[in-house]
Amino acid sequence: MVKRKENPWQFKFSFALAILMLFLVLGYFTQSFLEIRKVKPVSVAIERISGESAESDISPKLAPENEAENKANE
Amino acid sequence: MTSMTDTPSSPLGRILEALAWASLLAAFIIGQIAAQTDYEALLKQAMPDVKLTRSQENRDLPVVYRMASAGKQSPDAVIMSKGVGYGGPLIVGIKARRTADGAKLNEILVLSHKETPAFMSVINQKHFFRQFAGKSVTDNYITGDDIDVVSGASVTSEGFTAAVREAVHLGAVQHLKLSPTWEEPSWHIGTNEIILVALFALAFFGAYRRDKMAKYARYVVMIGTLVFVGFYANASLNLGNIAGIFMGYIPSPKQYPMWWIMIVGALGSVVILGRNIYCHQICPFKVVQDLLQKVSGVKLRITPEIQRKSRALIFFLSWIALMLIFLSAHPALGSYEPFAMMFSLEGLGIQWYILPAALLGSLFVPSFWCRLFCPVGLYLNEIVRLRRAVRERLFGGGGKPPSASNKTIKVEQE
Repeated sequence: MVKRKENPWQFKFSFALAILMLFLVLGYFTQSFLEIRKVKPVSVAIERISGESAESDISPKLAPENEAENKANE
Repeated sequence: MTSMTDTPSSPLGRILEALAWASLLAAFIIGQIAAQTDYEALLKQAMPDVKLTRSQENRDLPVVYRMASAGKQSPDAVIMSKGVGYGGPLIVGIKARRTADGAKLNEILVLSHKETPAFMSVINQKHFFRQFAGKSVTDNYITGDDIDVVSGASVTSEGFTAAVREAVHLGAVQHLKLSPTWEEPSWHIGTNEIILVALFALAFFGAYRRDKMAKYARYVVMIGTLVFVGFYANASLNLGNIAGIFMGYIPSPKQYPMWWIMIVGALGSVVILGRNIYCHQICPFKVVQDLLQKVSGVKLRITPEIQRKSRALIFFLSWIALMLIFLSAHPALGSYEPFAMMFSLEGLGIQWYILPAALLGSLFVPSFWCRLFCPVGLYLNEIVRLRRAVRERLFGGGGKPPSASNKTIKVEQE
């Protein structure tokens, strides 16, 4: 990384640190990748794409059924 | 992605570059299609035991759901709305209860967000959402007025407040038939914005002059950016900000003028002036590294060869980061920079190790992080190089673009 003759231990240390940093960043990416799978909008989207999503209880489909109830309350 | 301005030297290089760009484009398209949020599913996940009936009055956000329990209509309702934070869109559910004089807020549910974990951690620790409980739907919901922003997460605070304000006021008009008595938010041009503009102005002054005044200006900028941009606003630019722009995650200038000042200042200086003012003077993390280097007194020099390799490494790392960001449509997940964590001391997992390693490295190698790992610096420098190449082609230089490694180092060391 630098002139080895001038600062041998500092060079080695910095080089080792840079390598360590590289692995840490790659580790961060791995961690992020695992986090992505937990993100709700993404998981919801994945479910929707794969067609496994069940109809929501609060979907518009159920709204008419509750409309009468709402009107009664009003 | 060898460079934005250089022609790849070998056919393999060209193929790799084309593949990199194609994969990024594909990731972007897939991410945009896949991440179209199912708002109702989000609400169902947050409140699995509550029966909710969607109001028929408004189909688009903000949407009102009436709550029911044991077959009886409850006076409670949930309003879903969307705002824009520092990392991208955020979705909230606002639980409100009808009262004799209108309605009051009970609770704010964060259903989805794309903020850096550090910002969300600060928001939660400072109990930001507690101040909404008990407020009337006719209140203003304006930061600096009846809502306090959290220092170090001001954009996030503003984004949540805007989402709540929009939802609550629309609900008040459409469902409670109330007349608007609240104030509308005005432009947020205050002390913070003036300070940031002043810092950029001083940075420009310091960059173009070589006299004693310029030296003092640089010191003022150094202290100012560390305290203000770093510890106070925690508004450093990161890869997520840049990627967020491509994904349309842009806060309105009325809502957050500081974001615009930062972006316009950073990009404007490289595009218009051909100087990377942000990295060399405004970035607070650079200041921290410079201070550490002064403390150690060690100044190891990076050879052009190492610089060239580190440049390729940053392109590679940023490619992975951008793939993650585009696929997840979540800018914070790919931003590997330790900036936000440095100034909030809030982070997750491996971030706790990246920050000390970066600081330790800067004791020996000046601007250790900037030179070897920072994607923002690399891309800003690439724009400077691109601008220089364009100018040379247009106004002289025989159409020959500048050489890759040497010019980068020059820009880095300016």
